[in-house]
Amino acid sequence: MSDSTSIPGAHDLDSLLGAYALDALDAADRARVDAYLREDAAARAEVDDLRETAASLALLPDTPMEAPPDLWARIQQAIVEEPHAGAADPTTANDELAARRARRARPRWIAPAAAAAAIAIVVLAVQVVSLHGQLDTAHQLGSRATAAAFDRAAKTPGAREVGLRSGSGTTLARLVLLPDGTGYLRGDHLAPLPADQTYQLWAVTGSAKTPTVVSAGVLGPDPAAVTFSASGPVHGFAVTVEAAGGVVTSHHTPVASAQLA
Amino acid sequence: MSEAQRLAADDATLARAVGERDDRALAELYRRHVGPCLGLARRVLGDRTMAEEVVQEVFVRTWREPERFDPTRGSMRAFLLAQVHGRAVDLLRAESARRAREEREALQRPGIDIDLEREVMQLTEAEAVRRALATLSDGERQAIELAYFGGHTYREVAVLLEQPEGTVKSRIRAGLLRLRAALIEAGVSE
Repeated sequence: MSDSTSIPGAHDLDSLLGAYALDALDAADRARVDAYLREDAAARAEVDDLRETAASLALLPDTPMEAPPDLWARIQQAIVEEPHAGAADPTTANDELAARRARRARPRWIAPAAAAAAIAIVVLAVQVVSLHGQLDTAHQLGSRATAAAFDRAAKTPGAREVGLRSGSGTTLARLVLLPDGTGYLRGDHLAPLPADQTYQLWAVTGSAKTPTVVSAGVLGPDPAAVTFSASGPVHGFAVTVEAAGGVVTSHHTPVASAQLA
Repeated sequence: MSEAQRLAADDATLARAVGERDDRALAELYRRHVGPCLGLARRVLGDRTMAEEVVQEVFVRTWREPERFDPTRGSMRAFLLAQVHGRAVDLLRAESARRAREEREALQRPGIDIDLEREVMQLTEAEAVRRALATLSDGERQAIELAYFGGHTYREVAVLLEQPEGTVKSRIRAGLLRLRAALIEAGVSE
């Protein structure tokens, strides 16, 4: 907030800063606020903060979009044509597209170091394989038994229960995680998939700003109720649709996700 | 800068590399931020082709004038989205674009092919934003959504909501400040 005594009408101008940050001023108001911002550092700081908040609004469900493959090529073409862009090689557009495809095929968490990548793949592969075993056990118990176990687990002290929601906010599955890492999932509202596809559960670890995602289980095409196991500090879950058998790394948009409180 | 360095670099480092005419640093910034940029432009304009043009213009301008991004004033994402939003709103306010949007049916949301962690990070933040929005009054939320996604001026929002202009102006600012506090509390903003 700015010192309202320093500039005539500053209080009135302060009240416009929210609308300014959202580009919701007409040209005359915008010009007045522009002039004010040139003079007032506190007002500038508030606008910067509010724009940061507006940027978060842009991430609301349904907003992010896949870019068409040729959009980067068009940008590349435009910057190559810039008079002072001498460093850019005219052939880099194709190289860059190839590099981008290569990067896309590889998850970020194994990108920085080859050694770490090899370990991550082995660990994830073991995890996926062992989870098949656990799921078999769950199916032997029967989904009704697992559903009962879900209800018992939800009442266990220290249990964390959360709804996995779709991008539009619909709860598609519920999940309980016990302090020992044992988890139960009820997918009552996950639509059944064809036999050649499966739902796969992913645990989100790491910090909120730099999450790491590991597979927590291949759930099958119609997971009414299943158990799984998650190790380490987990702060969220996501469910994707994959080819039957599951994958070590996913490149699909989650159909549902949740943050643990 | 090697590819490994680019992948590991933060946005401010990439922006400096763009200043040194490293077009692959721009490509990495594009890879990280194009989804929300394109989504926002499309949501405001209701037109995919125009949205792509806006995004192209913003990235080309970032290449041409990288010094316009000041890391001490905020994140690269906020910088790019503010550029995209401003340009989209300018276009929308040309009457023809608004009319075209009104006549057009909403396009189906396409799939997203980006890495799962980034996707989860965005969903996590989207979840936090949704929760934060829920703490606002209906009046604050409506005013912010109409201004930001509808591309309306606050005076137009006042007409649409049949509220005094001063009320709408105050609600937008108070609501945004409250949203910001909630996002900081949720750990997705600083």
